[in-house]
Amino acid sequence: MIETYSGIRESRPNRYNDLGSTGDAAEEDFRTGCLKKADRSFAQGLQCQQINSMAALMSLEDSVFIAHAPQGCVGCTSMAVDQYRVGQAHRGVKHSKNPRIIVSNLDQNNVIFGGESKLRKAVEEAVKRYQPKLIFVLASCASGIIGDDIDAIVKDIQESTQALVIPIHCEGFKSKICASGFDAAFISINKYILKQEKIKKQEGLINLFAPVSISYADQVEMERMLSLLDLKVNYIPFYSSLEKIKEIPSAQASTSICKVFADEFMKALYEDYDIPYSHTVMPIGVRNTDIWFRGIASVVGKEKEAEEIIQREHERILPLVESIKNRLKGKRVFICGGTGRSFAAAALIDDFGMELVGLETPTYDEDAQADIEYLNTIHPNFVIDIANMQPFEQVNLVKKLKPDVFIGVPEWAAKLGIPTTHVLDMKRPTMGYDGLLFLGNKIADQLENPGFNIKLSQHIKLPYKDSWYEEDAFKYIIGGN
Amino acid sequence: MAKILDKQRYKCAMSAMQTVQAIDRAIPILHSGPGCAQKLSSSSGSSGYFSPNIYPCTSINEKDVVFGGVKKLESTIRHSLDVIDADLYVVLTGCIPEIVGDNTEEVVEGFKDAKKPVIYASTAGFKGNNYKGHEEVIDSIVDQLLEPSDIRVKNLVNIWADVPYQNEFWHGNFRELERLIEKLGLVPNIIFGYNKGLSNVKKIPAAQFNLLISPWVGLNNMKKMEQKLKIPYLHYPTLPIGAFETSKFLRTVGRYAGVPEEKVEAIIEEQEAYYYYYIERYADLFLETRVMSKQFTVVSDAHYALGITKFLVNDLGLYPAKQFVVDDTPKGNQEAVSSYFKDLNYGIEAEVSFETDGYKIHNEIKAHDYHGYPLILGGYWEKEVAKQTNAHFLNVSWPVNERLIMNSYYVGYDGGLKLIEDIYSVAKTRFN
Repeated sequence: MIETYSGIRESRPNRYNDLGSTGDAAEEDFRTGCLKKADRSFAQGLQCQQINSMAALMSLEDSVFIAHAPQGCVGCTSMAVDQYRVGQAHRGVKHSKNPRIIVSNLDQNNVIFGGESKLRKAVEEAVKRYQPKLIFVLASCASGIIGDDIDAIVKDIQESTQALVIPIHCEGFKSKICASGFDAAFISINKYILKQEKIKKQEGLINLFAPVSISYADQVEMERMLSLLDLKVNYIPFYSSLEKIKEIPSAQASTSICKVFADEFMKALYEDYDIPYSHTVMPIGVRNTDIWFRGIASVVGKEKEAEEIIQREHERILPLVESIKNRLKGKRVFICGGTGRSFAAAALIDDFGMELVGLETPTYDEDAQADIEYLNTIHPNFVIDIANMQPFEQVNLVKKLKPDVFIGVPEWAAKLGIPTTHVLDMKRPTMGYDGLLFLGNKIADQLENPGFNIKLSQHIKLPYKDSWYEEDAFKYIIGGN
Repeated sequence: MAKILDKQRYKCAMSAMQTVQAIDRAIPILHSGPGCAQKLSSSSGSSGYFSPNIYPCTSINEKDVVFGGVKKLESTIRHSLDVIDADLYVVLTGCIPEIVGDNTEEVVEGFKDAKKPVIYASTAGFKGNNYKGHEEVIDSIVDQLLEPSDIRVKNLVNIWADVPYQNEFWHGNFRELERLIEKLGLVPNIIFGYNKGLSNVKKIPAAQFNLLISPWVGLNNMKKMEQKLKIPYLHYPTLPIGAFETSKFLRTVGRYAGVPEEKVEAIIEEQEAYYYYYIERYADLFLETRVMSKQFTVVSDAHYALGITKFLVNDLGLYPAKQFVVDDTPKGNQEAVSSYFKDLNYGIEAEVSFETDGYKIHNEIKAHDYHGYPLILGGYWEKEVAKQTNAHFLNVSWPVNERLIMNSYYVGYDGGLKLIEDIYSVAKTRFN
């Protein structure tokens, strides 16, 4: 019997959150088993896994979200509302709806005596108000510590409730990797909706897993590519429904757009429902898009068709890429992004003949190792910062490395006067062959008028002491190698 | 405290990190779980010198929950002082350390000889919302940073009004309040916003009086300062928007501060003439607009709900439907706040509902007959109910999406004109 996965990403062996290194050294240390778990004695705020659990499921039809939490844990709802409504607008929904988010509002009394009654009340109201098909109950730091047994409470509520009530264990303090929240959501989907029941297979149906950060334009592009292989897509869970989730076990194969989204779930689907899957890379840039496409094609036995399509797409795309390359080649780049995007962006810059000087990403693991091995063959000497944000380390490195271009969360590099482009565009194209052109042109346009960032840097100062820039950026990483 | 919240209008006490951030070069240090900074950061204009991603955070993990997080807090504060270039470090405690019982006070005590002041405030999410958290932070500053002053600087007035970032017009409003107070010949002292910071915090004890412009938020702070710093306060509950309320405001403050009546009246005459010059030019628009009913509803905290209601009734001649106060006004303040809504011209009284549950509010709006297209001023949540009721919708309270507010304001004479601009910019989209 395989040990049940807890949903905590750092519970997997050889996964590291705190590391400062170079491409070569990291590859070597990982291979030889010399990397160790470390920590930071000084750090800046992170993103917690509850945000990711919520984001993963937010757009499901006929659902209500109950944060079993004090009132701040849904403080990010205004962002969620915006995302959800924009997504609807892109999908042509005429009357955009708000997401239904309720917080049980744990207070001082509940912290002492437990919050069960508030959770019951919240579910009761959710049913009365919205008659949903799905009610998700999201655990929080507070509910976890005071010991509310949400599984038991939900089990009891379920007996008298028609809607499916699904607890999700996404207590913030349990993981430093916010992507754990994706896993927590999928574990619950499997346990409470799919329930190991096998259903009739549908030939040519592919589960395409995509997180909230994938734009509709990207969805359309991915669906277009898969339709070229005569595959039909079940796009999950973004803007999908209970019915579509129930169809998951009928698929012929699964793949994901993001490396840290549904990767564990696809393993579970393979074990529980015999659904093979392709887990490769994020389809950003020509090389990664090829790899991603070949990956899913080979699972469904359509390698030959895929090669023909890839060749056709290359004929169409590569001349256009060439024109962007003329604007970008030789530029030195620093990349900061999530696990999937940062490595994909690093591969992407190769299409444009750019040089990688620094890479910041939240985790290093086996997947990262494969990417780093590849990157090391192209880029001779780049710095790696394994960090979930930590802008203080980033600006220290960026100031020393002086890249021509910064790709990723732009605020801080911009204040150093460096041209910046955001690679995480939740509303416009990034993925696939066409996304590549959009992204490349965006980077080039930004580079050709760096005026805003330069002016900004001349008028403001970053909030660190001058002495900090003299220090080793990785000074506060303790333990490890 | 409020029951379950559906369509939430505020955040938790720890969101007072934004109150800290609004003080130039003051930085919050969060002793909390890993996601708090991120979750509480969604207000526009938060990427200043400091921003939520910059805040040092202990990001408490499972081990700290069991063994306590004080060691991590100590190292985080110590290194913050080394790395971050700030004038004031404010440790804010979240849910976890307050449940497991970390002694934050003791850790912060250890930094009393640091080169820059380090203070702390208790802001656990389960203790209250960010209106309460805002008061906690101000109280902490008074308790831990300020001492009574031997000198009173004549005419120096501390001004307290909007809750920074929660009230998205805070920056512009403070600046306009500053200008109004200056017109009276007084010297305003504000600690939030551009070019203020710790030097203004230090001036607080020397002020002649505190001026609180807010229905209830901040009253506790005024009492604390009265007691500890011996500073009396003038409580003016209504955010003055437009001519009627602003003139009344100037008269009230002028009388309290001993400004000669002729001087105040001269200012008012000049300002009202200016204001009505513009109103007259557009009066045809206001008089002939057929696509907006006379009735309106505000869904906001008491501060904006009251200010806007008074303006729309007293200046613009509209009529109040029910107003919804969504800030979880403490029970003890509700009666007073209600009474302010009953003090409108021509004996008009606005009915107020202290309701934090968006679902109920939307049902009430849908059930009311506004005699035409309603005017709804509220949070982004109301966009949906506005669509369902064919209403004109203006997003004035948190959450604010789809509009950008940099330094504009609704306070004062110009602020009233600005609010009219915003309302009619929405109404005019219906003209064709």
